[in-house]
Amino acid sequence: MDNAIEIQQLNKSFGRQSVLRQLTMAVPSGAVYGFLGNNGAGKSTLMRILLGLIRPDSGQFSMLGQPLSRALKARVGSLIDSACLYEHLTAVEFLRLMVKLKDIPSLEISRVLELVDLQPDQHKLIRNYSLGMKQRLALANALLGEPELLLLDEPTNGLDPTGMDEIRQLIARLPRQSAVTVLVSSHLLDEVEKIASHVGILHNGQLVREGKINDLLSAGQGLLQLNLADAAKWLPLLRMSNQVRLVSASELEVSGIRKIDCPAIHYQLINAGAHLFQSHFDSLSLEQCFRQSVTGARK
Amino acid sequence: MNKFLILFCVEIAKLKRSQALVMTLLCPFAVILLQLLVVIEGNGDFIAKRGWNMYWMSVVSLWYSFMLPLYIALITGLLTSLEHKNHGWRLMATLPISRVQLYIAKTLLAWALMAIGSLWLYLLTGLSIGLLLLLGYQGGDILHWSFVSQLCPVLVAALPIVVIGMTVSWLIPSMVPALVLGVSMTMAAMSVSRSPDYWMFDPWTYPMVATMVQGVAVRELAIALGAVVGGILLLAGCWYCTRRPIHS
Repeated sequence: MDNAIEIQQLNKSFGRQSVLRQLTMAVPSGAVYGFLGNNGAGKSTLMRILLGLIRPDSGQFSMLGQPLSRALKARVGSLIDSACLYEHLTAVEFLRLMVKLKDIPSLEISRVLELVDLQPDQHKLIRNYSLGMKQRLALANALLGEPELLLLDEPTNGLDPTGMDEIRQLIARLPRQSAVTVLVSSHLLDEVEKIASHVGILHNGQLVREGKINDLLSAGQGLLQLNLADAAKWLPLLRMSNQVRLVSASELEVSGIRKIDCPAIHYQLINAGAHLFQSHFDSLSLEQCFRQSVTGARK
Repeated sequence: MNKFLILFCVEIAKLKRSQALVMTLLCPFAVILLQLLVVIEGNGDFIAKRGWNMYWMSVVSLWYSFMLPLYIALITGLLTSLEHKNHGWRLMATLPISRVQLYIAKTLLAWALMAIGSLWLYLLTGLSIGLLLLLGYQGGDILHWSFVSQLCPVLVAALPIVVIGMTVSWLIPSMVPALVLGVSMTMAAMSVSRSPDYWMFDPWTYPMVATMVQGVAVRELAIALGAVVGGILLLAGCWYCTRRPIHS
């Protein structure tokens, strides 16, 4: 199976508001797929559709090569937005209920509690947990039974920086440890950049960019900083074909270019007699790539 | 183990430290406390004149005609609030279980709690009579099995109220509408149950009619209506409640 999730022309509206529009995407098996989008872009709606909480208006999807069914749900772990926990129970009591319903051995409880580092607090009432502990427990529940696919909607919501880092590392480790595919939605671009192998950018219910994170970033446009003598003199030359800004008497900034275009600029300057001391190219961060994609989609 | 049985056991396990369990113990206790106060306040005249038979009758009629419908509204509200409060509907919907089975398991649990509450009431009645005897009150025969035997008919006759309570509190996150419905319909049922023509249109009258009315045929009709109307409502509830999208 090449793709763990396949979605074809999915549509969903709430009243007159169209949330997902002809959404087609694929999540490769074994990937950590970061699903990006502003609030209201349709990320959570898609997660809810995949889990069967709401029905799409039209379109099709399959996970692990199957349409949604009870048997499939047993192979999928999920954490949707805020943690769903019975707060009057202890962590171990809660997980005992979950292993019964998922029909998996209760030995799993200690494994997942260890994985999220909650073993010391397993007998405390969940209502006395911090927000971060609750989120870790919800993740432990999602990991019960070593699911083949994990759907995580904003998994670091409410966590402190240390907690966020722990969860990020845990998610990034998962595919190597247990061959799980992870679809993780977030509006924290920095978070996704750190853990994802693939990225999809959702804007107004449509996928505006998708692919391997490295390909996306290297294919994108960046910023070239040039240190050269008498910088102002070379401004008109470069302005003919680029967006250029004079930063100081000895520095120019060329924006909106790809790394592959840099040698041509260097050649153009040197050929015209410029004394080029230093050149530095900054490739796009995921945040810049996201902004570009969203702005491009708006236009 | 059968999937439904596992789900039912999980629903029972969720009751640990829950208010639903506390209320199952407290509501019958409140009825007994009220009756004890009535007897003690009247210096036992009520028992001396009419015997323990009347004491049993007061307890049972107060429970079945007034407290039980309110208790059902409360208990169904508390059972579903476990899910409403904790995003439990969403959690349960992501698990490999059927929503129809979940609806039936919760309704069955509410019904079982009603039975447990009623049995607890009988036990407390016996204990309270023991206490009154120790305090020197006398009233003839202590045990009146006819009142205990009312439990089974009431369990059947109250099925529609249980299903309606469960459905309303399943659909509406707040407990208030279920409680308002329970209180207002209980009040209305007290009048409607006296009408020979209209009582059958109000399911809240069925437990009262099944236990309090003199005629055997009418009592049997109340029980039969409870079973049939309860069964139809249960099917309708299964169909409607489990098809709604889960947003919470």
